[in-house]
Amino acid sequence: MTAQPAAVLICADVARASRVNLAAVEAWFQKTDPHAVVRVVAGLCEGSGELDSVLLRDGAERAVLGLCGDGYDERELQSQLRQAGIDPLTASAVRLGRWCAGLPPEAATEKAKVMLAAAVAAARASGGSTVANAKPYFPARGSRRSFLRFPVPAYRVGPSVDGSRCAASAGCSLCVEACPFGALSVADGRIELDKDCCEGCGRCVSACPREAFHFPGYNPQEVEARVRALLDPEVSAIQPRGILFVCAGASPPPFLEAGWMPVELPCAAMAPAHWLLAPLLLGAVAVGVVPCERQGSRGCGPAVLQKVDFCQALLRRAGRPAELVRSHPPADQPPGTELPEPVPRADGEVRFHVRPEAVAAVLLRFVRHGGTSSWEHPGCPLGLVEISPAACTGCGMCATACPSEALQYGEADGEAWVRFDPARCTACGLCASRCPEQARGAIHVSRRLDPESLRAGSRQLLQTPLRRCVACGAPVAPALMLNRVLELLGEDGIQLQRVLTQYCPSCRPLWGAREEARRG
Amino acid sequence: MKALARLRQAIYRLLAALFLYPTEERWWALVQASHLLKPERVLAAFPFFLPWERLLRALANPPEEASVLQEEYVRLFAPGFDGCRCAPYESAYRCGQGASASWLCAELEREYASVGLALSNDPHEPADHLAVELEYMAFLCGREAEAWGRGTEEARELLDRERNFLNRHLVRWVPEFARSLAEQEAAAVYRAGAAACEAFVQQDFDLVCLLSRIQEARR
Repeated sequence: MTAQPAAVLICADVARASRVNLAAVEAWFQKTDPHAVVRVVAGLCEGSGELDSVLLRDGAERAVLGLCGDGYDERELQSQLRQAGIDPLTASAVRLGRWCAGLPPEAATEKAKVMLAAAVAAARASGGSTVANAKPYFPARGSRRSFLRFPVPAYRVGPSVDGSRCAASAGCSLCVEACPFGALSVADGRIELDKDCCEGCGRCVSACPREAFHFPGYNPQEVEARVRALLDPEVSAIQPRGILFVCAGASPPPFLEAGWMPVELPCAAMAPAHWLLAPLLLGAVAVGVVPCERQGSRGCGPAVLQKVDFCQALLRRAGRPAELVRSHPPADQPPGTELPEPVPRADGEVRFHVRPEAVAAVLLRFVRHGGTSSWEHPGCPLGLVEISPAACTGCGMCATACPSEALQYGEADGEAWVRFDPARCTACGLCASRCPEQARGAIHVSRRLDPESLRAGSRQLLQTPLRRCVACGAPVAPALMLNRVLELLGEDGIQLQRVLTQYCPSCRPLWGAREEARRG
Repeated sequence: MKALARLRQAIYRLLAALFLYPTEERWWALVQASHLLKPERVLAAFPFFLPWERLLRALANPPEEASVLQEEYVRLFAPGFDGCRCAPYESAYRCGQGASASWLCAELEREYASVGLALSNDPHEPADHLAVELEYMAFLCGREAEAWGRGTEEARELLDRERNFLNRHLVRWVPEFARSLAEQEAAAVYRAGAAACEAFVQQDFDLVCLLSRIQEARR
C-alpha cells in the first residue's frame, strides 16, 4: 500500500533551540520515506513562513510541524496550511525545541527523527477532520491580517460524535458522566456537545466503548501509530526507549533524556489503562505519565494515579516489576535502566482501540505471563456481571441497556437466555441501573479482572423456558417473568393472570372479545 | 464586524442560489458571483475553506449546457411519485422528531414575518426549503452589517436571532441533507455545494455563538 503524501515542515529556528541537525533529518527522510516532503521553513512558528508558496500544492494531504518552542501563531499557520490544501486540524505539531533541548547534537537529531517519523505515522492514520471538530476562539495575540479590521478566529481541535455508533438512544450516557466540563448532554436520545463548554480533554473518547467519538490527533488508531513509530527500532539507534504520556496542562520535565519518547495528550486522564501497558508489549522498557497539577475533577491527577495503580497491581501479579509503569518517572535518566529484562514483544495482538475487546486482549497478555486469580480494583477497565437466578426474570432489559453488547438476550428453541461476554464488559453498571428487579439484587457488577472468565469467553448466565400463547403458539414471555408477575398479582385478578400467562399481546384483545361474547 | 457580516451574507446568498432551480440567468449570475468569492487569504482563516474551494472548482467547470444541470436538479430535488431522492426541505429530515411539516412551515413563516418578510412567489418554494432558510440567514447578516454602523445593541440582537435560527433549524438538518446527497450519484456541483453548505452552516453557528458570547461579556 502506498503511503499517504505528507509534508514535514520544520521551523528553521529548531536548530538554534535544540541543536538538531536539520540537514541530517531532511536527508534521512529523503532516504527512508519518499512520500514525505521535508521543508525547513524560516519563521514557521511566527507564521511568516508563507507555506502556500513553500509547499506549492505538491500533493501533501497531511502535515507535521516541527516547532522550535511552545508558542506559535496557530491562526496564521492554520490559514496557510488551508491555502496549501492541507487540513490544519489533522496537522501534528511536534515541539522539537521543548523535547530535544539539552541533548547533545547527535542524540537531539536522532530524537527529532523518531518524533517526526512518529508524527507522520499518526497523521497518516488520521481519518481527517470536519467543521464539527473545529472550536473557534480569538487568540490574545493580534493577527497579521488585523489591518482588515476583521475579527479572524483561530480554531482548536475538539471531539465530535458519530450518531450512528452512539448508544445514547438505548440510555447510555457514559461520555456525559466522563466529561468534567459538562459539555455533553443527552437530548432526544442523542448526545449533544456544547462546544462552548468543551475544553477538548478527550476523556469522552476513551469513555465510549463503541468508539463513537472522533478526535483528530487523539483517536486510538492515531495514538497507536505514533507509539509504534516511537518504538520502531529501525528508525533510530536510541535504546532503551520509554513512552512518556504528558498532559497538555502539565509543566513538562525540564530535561528529557533521549530514550524517553513523549506522547502529548490533551489530558493524561484520557489515556485508558491499557494504553499504559500496551507500549511494554511493543518494545518500551518503561511507561511514564505526567499529569497536570490542576485540582478537582477537572485535573487529571487522581484518575491517572488510579490507572497507574491498577497497572502496577497487574504487573506485580504477573511477576513483573511494578515500576514498569509509573507516574512522574525520573525523566532525566534513561528509562528502565534499573529494571530486569523487558516484557516480550507481542506486536500483532496489541491495539489501542478503546473497545473493551481490545482492552481485554492487552490485559490478557500480561495475565498469560503469570497465573493470577480474579481480583477487584477500582481502576480496572473491565468488569464482571453476575445474575442471581432467584431474582432475575429474564426480561432482557440489561442486554438492551448494555452499550458494549457484553450482555445479550435471545430466544431460541422455546428458551430465553442471557449471555455474558467478560471481554466486552466495562463495568459501567448500566445493566444494574436499568434492571427492574435490582431491588432484589438481580444483577451484581464488579470492577474485576477475572483471567479465567476472560479466557473462557462468552457464557450463559440465565436460561428459562418461554411460555407460548395457547391461541397462536407465539412466545408470550419467559416463564420466570410470568411467575414473578403472578407473584406480584397474588390472589387477586384470576382472569388477569390467565390472560397474561396464556395469551400473547396480539391474541389478548381476541380473548377479551371472546370472553365478552361468552358472557352475552 | 461589519465586513464579517457582509462576507457571511454573500456566502449565504451564493449557497441559497445554488439550491434553487438553475435557470440560465440564475446560473450565469451564480458563476459570476463565485468569482467574487474566490478562495483568497481571508477565507482561508475559516475551516470551511477546503470544501468551499472544492465548490468553487466545481462551479468553474460547469456542464456545458444549463439543461444538463436543470435535469440533474429535477432528478435530485424535485418530488416524484415516490418522494425526493434528496429532499432540500427541513421537514423531510425533522418530521418524527416532534415536528410535522405544517407545524415547521408555520413556525418558519412566523419567524420570517417577525422581521417583516413574507414568502415570495418567485421562486415558489415552501418556507422550509434550504434556499429559503439560507436566504433568510443572508437577510439577517445584511441587517446585522447595517446595524454595526449604528451601534452594537441592535447588532447584538440580530446575532442572537441568527444563532437561534441556526440552532433551531439549519444546524439540525443540513448535515443529514449533505450526507444523503453525498450518497447519491449527483453532479459535482451539487455534491460539493452540499458539503460546503454543511461546513459553512456548522462553522457559522460556532462563530455566531462565540461572537454573541463576546458581545454579552462586553455588555
